[in-house]
Parts: sequence; C-alpha cells; structure tokens
Amino acid sequence: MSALSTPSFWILTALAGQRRHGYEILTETARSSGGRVSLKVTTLYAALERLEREGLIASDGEEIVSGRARRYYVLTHQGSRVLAGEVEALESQARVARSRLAASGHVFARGRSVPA
Amino acid sequence: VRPASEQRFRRLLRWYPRRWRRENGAILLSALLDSAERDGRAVPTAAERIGAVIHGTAARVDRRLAIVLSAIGIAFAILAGVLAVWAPAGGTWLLPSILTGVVPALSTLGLITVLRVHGLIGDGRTLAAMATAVAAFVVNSLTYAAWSAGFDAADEGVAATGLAIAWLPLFAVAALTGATATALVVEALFRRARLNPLARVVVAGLVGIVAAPLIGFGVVIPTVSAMLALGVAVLALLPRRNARMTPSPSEALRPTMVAELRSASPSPAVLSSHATARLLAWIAAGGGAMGVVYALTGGQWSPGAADSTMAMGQGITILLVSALPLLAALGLRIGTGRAQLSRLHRGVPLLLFAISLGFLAIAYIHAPVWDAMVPWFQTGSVLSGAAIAWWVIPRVRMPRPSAAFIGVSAGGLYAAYLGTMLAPMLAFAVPIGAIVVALQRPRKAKKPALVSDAEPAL
Repeated sequence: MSALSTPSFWILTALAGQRRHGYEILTETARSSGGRVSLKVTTLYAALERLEREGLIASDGEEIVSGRARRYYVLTHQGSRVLAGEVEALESQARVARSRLAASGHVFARGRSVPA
Repeated sequence: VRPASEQRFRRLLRWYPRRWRRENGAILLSALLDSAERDGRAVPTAAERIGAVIHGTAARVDRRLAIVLSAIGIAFAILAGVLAVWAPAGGTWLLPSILTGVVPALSTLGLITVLRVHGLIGDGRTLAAMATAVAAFVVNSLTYAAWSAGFDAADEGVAATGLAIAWLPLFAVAALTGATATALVVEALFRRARLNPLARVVVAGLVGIVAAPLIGFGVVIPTVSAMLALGVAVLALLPRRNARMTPSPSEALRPTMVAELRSASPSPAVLSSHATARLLAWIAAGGGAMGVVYALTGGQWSPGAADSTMAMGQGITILLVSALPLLAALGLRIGTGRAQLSRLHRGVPLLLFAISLGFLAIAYIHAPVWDAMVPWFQTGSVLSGAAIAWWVIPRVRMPRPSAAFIGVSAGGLYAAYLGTMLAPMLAFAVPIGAIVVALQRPRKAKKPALVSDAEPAL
C-alpha cells in the first residue's frame, strides 16, 4: 500500500531532478500521469504547503515572469528518499501482480496485458 | 484574463489570513490566472472555490493558534482547579462544563492544530475533525448536565424531566461524534503506515469507538483535563523538525571544560558535603518513619490525637517537616554536582519548596478542620507552584518564552489543585526518598580523557 497520496506522488515526481514553479508542476503532473491526476490550483498549493511542512520539498526562490509571480520548488534529500521508497514499493507490488498474471497465462506486450 | 475577471480570482484570496496573503497571495493568484487562461475561463471553477475555502480556512490553523488554544485551555483548567478545590459550592454547573466541555475541546483543537502544523493531517481532515470534536465535547458537556439533573431528581425522589430524561440519547450522540472525530484523526495518521485503506478505516473506527467514551468519562477528572491541556501546550511549543535548537557558543562546552569534567574527581570538600547530605537524609528517613507510624497508629496511643483522622493529619505534619532535611540534602547534592545551571536556579526552587512544605505542615496541624487548613494550604500550594515554575523554566530545552509558558502553566496547575492531591501522597514518599538519597554515593572519578582545545570532543 502507498504511504504517499496520489497527488503527492506526482508532485514529487514532477520535481525529481528539476526545480519547477507551481503552475509548471500542475501541467507536468497532468502530463506525466497521462491526465489521470488533474490538480486544481488551490489544491496544489495546499499540497505544496503540506509537503514543505513535512520537509519533502523546499521553496527555491521567486521570480517575476511576464508580470506574474512564480515561486520555484525543489525536492529535498528527504523527499528523494521518500519518493525512492515509494517507487520501490510500487515496483514490488507490480512484480507480484505481474508474476501472478503471467502464471495465469496473461501475456504482457508493449505495456498492455493481453488475456490468454 | 481581463482586469474585471482578475478581480473574481482575487476575491478567492479573501478566504486566506492576511499574513498568508502577504506571503503567498501573488503566487497563488498568478497560478490561478495561468490556469484560467489555459482553459479559456474568466471565472474560477467550483473546485477552485471549494479549495480556497478549505485551504484558506485551514491556513488559520497554525502554530500560533495551537499556542493560543492551549494557553486558554490551561487558564480554564486552572479556573476549574480553583473551583474544584477552593470554591466547590460556586462551581455547581460551571465546573462540570469547564471540565467536560471547554478544557478538553480547547486541548483537542490544539492537538489537531499541532498535527496539521507537523503535516500529519490534511486541511479538509483538519477542519472536519475540529468541527466534529467541538460538537462531541458540547454534547459531552450536555450529557453530564443531564446525568447530574437525573441524579438530583432521583436523590429528591421525584420523576426525572426535561434534560434529565435525555441523558442516554445525549450519551449516544456524544459517543458517536467523539468516535467520528477520533477516527478522522487516527485514519489520517495511519495513512503514513502502509495499510490497506479498508483496514485503515476499520482500525480507525475501532480506536474511535473504544477511545471516545474513555475520553468522555476521563475528562471529568480535573487532573486528566489539566494534564491534557499542559501536554498540548508542550507539543505546540516543541521546536519544529527543521528548526532544532543548537547551543550558542556561550552555552556549548569548551573542549577544555570537557577535559576538566572528565577528569574531575570528588574533592575533599565534595566528599564532606556528601557526608553531610547523607546524615541529613538519614535524619529525614528517621523522621519520616516516625511520621508514618504516627499517622497510622497515633490515634490508638497518642494523647495529642483524639482519633485516627487527627493522628493522620499530625503524622503528615511530621512527614512534611521530615522532608526539610531531605531537601537540604538534595540541595547539597545538587550544589556539588555537575549541573550547568547557576546557583540561583538550583537553590531557589528548593528553598521555595521547603518554605511551601512548612506551610503545608502547619495546614495539617489543623486537620481535619478544612476551613482552618485552607489559608496555609493555599499559601503552600502557591509557593510549591512557584518552585515548580522556577525549576522547570531554566531546564526546558526551548526558547525562553516557551519555557516560561510551560513552567508557569505547570506551576499554575499544581498550585490550582494538584498540590492538594499530591501533598499527602508526597509526604508518605519522604522516608523512601530519604533512604535512596542516603544510600547514594559520590560518583567515582573517571580516567582523565585526552581532550585538547584543538580536538573538540562534542
């Protein structure tokens, strides 16, 4: 089971390896989750504040771009660790599910499962 | 987005506290406008409005609120103590309301606030848990009022009417809302554990069902309410994870001091102090043993005690007087120890406590006449409270205002009513404490450590 909520997982993923501002996190989250996660701006900032309080992300400066204020966020060391732990847990779950499905005759092809 | 439309987005910010708007308002507004431009909207979506209401309201639930709530909770707990001990007739309806409703509600709100501040529960859950908890304690208070009215009616031999007949449904509602509030918090805390969502909900529900009635019954005991309020205050004032205190250069031990401490061996003066302390402790143990024997048997043989109640009071007086040499022994031990605190912070609390014991001893001379005991008891309790406050403040590892808040609260709560409950129990612990102090030996000298200024050891 997951220790991170789905929005938190995708926010941390969006920040992995790159600093981003709020709106950028919003678009990146929607893009990388294939549209499954569509955060609203107010919800995003509530989640960002919470992740910052937990020490998983940190604000990394502010800029004015085209007359609009942007605050950038980065993943902290602790955030990287938590995200890595989450990825390992998800991979472990996926391995179990994959082996069970394979045993029952499912064939995985190009990321899609094909019933036998 | 046109300026007229921008106003509609700007209006969402009104849900947020002013301080939050000053720090984050422009950032949030920019993202709202970016999102609206992408979607070709001129107004905020319903989800954005709801999000602003929840997040904006929850933004007020911060550390400052936790401190204010716990401070008000402690003030009410002290008031409850004063009503319970010093003016029992004046607290017929007010005291139960404070104990079963006001103090636990404030403490619980403070606790939920602390959990949100530490990122353990989300905004929506915070508000839902707070609203449910307040409802639970309001109904809890009404349940006690109804039960009390029914009890009075039964005492007078008349049929229960009005609120009195509603106590059972009220109890059910209080238990249900209390269980819901507890489950809301517990389920959020369990999210960190990798538990199945269904199992999380079931376990949280069970915890709520078991804990809610226990809390409801427990808070009627003044000590429970007081400890709850003080516990929340301590949690609210704890430094945040990312802002741990580091010792200032003046507070940090210099390596040479460490070398001195490591190589320290008891000097002849220290050994002499320890011998005196042991002698005093044995005197206290002897006096304490006499006090216990007198308290338990004096009624049968002492010409000064008309009955066993009077003998108990006089025995406690002997015990409290016996505590004075024990305090002197402790003072000598602390004075020759390795404490980093000044003599003032080591000596004054003991002195205040010794004087307070004197007053309490005089109070018990008047036992069992409560009216005659009250002024001595009050003075003794206030002095004990002052001793506790003085002892706590320099020893709590927090910024000085926070430490002062904790110390004064602890001292205030003790003075309000804990003193009257603990003083007789503490008195009977005197002989045991004295024997422990008498049997303690000075610490053995350690081998000098090779620590120099160039090699910091800390």
